[in-house]
Amino acid sequence: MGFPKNKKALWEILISQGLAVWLLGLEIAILLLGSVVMAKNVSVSGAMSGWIPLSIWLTRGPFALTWWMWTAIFLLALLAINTVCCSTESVRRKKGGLLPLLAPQIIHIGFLLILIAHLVSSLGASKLTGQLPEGALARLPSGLDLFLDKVETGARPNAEVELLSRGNVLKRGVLAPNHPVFFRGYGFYLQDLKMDPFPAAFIEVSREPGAPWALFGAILFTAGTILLVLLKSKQE
Amino acid sequence: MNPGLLAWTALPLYLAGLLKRRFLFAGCLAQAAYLLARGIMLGRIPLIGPHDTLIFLAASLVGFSAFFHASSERGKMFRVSLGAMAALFTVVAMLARPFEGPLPPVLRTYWFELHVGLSFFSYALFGIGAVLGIIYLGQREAALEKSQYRAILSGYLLFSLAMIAGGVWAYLAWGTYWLWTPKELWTSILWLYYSLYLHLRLRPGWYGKKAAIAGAIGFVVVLFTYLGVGLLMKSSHTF
Repeated sequence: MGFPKNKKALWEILISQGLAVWLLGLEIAILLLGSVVMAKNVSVSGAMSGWIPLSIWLTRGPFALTWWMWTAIFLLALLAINTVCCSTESVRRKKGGLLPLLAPQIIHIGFLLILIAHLVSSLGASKLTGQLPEGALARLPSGLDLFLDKVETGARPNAEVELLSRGNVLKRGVLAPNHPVFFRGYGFYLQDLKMDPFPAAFIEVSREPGAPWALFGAILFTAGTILLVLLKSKQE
Repeated sequence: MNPGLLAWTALPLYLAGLLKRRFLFAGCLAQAAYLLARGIMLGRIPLIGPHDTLIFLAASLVGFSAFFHASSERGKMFRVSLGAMAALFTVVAMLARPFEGPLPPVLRTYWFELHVGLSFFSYALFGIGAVLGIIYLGQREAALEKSQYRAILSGYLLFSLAMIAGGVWAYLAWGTYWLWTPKELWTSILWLYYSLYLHLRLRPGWYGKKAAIAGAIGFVVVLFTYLGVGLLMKSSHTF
């Protein structure tokens, strides 16, 4: 028993490197056009720079500006299908040794995880920014309270904060540039500080659910590439 | 000794390198010493703006070329092409004003340093790949095309690591590992382009001349991502 003829032909297309090459080429062309659209519409570019999740930008933005991203996502979806099929077929055929077989598949899994990360983030990311005076409390949408205990400017600007629930301190931390505090899936970031007319901190509360997927995918992608470099340096 | 003199010293050394390879490495050492002196003077890694980054790129090009040693006639072409590229980058770097100020707090992290350093190392390897590909087109020695592939694959690895370091930095600085600015888009284009090259080379009929051309064109994408985007498109990156 095998595939019916037309299904087999479809499978051959889905596993082909030729399809990957075409999809990669088209993706490059679309992103190139997208970069021109973005450069000509700086306000759009600004909104895309992490201010709002991708899914919201895509669904609420004018199609005249978002078409290229829709196309890019469609092509990436096809590329993901092609990647899964190609890897499945390679493992099924088991040509060559174990390591030469594994290296590209590890890279492919890493790539797919990074795509999943972008998908998860585009659907579930959130960002909230606000100014909090020293000694003030802010209620967050998650129900937690954020208390700004102390701000310090100078060589090492920082803000001491507490996260509370019904008056109980759940976490204490010091926010500084590049040093956020993480709690229950949320990241608390220090954006800016000011002392006049009163000491206050600009704090961003961010949720990026795709981040662990992206990191794990990136580690796998790198591990696979290192393996491939080692194997090819012997071969070539 | 004025550190600026060290940077200028590299130029005649690179030009002398057109004749003798050892002068190329002397130029590379002069630029490395300049960047080290500048780093000590500024108290930070000197990799901000075209002045620093072009010098870093020129020195990296020559430094990495040591791993792609070629003797005889093709070695001469390799040496001359690299020397000319390094000299050109040095001249443009010296015309650009060095950034002397302190780093904004958000750039004071090892992730940023790693991100920029690895990016330029990968650009250098892509540049070496382009040079090897162009020489291959003239001389048709299979070893050259294989060396081009090795250079590009190594560059691809470092470029991927640079993107990871950039993602970690962005996540710690802004709460997101990816920003949809023109620079990031072009970074994706560059990464996809070399992914395309690596897949193309596996296709029947693409090994050899076509792969060499594709590998050489990649460096045009590198230069646009590095310099063109900053000049022509607004972005949070200003390297």
